[in-house]
Amino acid sequence: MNIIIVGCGRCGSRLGRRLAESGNRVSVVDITRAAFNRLGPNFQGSTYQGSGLDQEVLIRAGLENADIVFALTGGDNRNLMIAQLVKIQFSVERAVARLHDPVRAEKYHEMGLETICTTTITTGLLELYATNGSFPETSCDLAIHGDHSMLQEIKKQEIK
Amino acid sequence: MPEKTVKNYAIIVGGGKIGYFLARSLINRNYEVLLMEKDSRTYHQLSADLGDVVMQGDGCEPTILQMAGVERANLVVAATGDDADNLVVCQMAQHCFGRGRVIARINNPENETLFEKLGISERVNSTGAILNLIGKKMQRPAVVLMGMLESSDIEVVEIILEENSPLVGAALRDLQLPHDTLIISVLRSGKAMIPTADLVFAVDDVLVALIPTKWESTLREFVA
Repeated sequence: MNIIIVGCGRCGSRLGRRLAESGNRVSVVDITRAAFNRLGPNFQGSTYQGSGLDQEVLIRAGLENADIVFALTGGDNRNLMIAQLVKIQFSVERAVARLHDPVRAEKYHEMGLETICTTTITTGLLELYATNGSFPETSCDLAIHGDHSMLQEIKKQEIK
Repeated sequence: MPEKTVKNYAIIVGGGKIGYFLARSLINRNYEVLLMEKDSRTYHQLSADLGDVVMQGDGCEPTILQMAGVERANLVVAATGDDADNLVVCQMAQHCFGRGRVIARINNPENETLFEKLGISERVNSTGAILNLIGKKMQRPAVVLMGMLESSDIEVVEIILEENSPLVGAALRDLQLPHDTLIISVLRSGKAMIPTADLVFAVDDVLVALIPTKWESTLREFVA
């Protein structure tokens, strides 16, 4: 799959590295060149320096053939704008905006955008910990190993 | 008819230059205004000036918008210098509360299409508007003063023939020039020519002429 990741912070770099290792064509975009150091020396994908809101930069990163775009910059609003930009103006079908604000995440989800909210996930897990005295096993695996398949398991726990 | 007591209510998000002057202008027009600014330093400066009209908060957050009374606002203006922030302010105001007019300031002209496609129908492209104005000012003048002949009131001017110039298509012999005016050369495609009476002027020709200073403004009016 062709995957574009906008924002090479802790989350973007880790995701980019892992998706490239599992055989995807990964392009990572960040406004700061130094951010690409987080990808490590063995990163198999490509990097593009520039603003993720700049259509030219996204096109250079292969937007027209992208299967998925992950908007993982540090700003909720920027991520929302990037995800909407690629869906509406470039017809990328799968775009996810990472948000910190649960309210915005919910509202945009209602509006048909795929969002993932760090606050919701973390508080959900902590709530389960408070109730059950431990983290659900699957979420621990997720936290430690970052195994993607565990995401479904987490959903089943009905975390709100 | 009873006197109208309900004021129009406008929420402006972003207390930069545009938000500030807009707030003042709407207050003068008897609007009830709320100017929202998230940066605490800017907020304090603004509230020292405008008082209770200013609220500190992030207008992108639905809860803050709700506290500001977005439900009864007739107008929400997203006036920050960040297009992503402006987009979210508008979408929150439109989709969550769905009342009144929403106007977005657009800073990067490239974003205009996206805002339009996302249903933000009222947009002010501030950068584009300023660029247009500057562009108009920068349009090359039709008459350029090249110099004066020494100790005289005779100017050497270049007359640039734009597409809509009345001179285009006319032959030199047909021009009724004042007797003290002389076209000494025509620059065409980078080459200077001594014009003959048969010469027909074309777009982009540059005429080099000697004219008395007193004719300059008349000439400008004529070729414009």
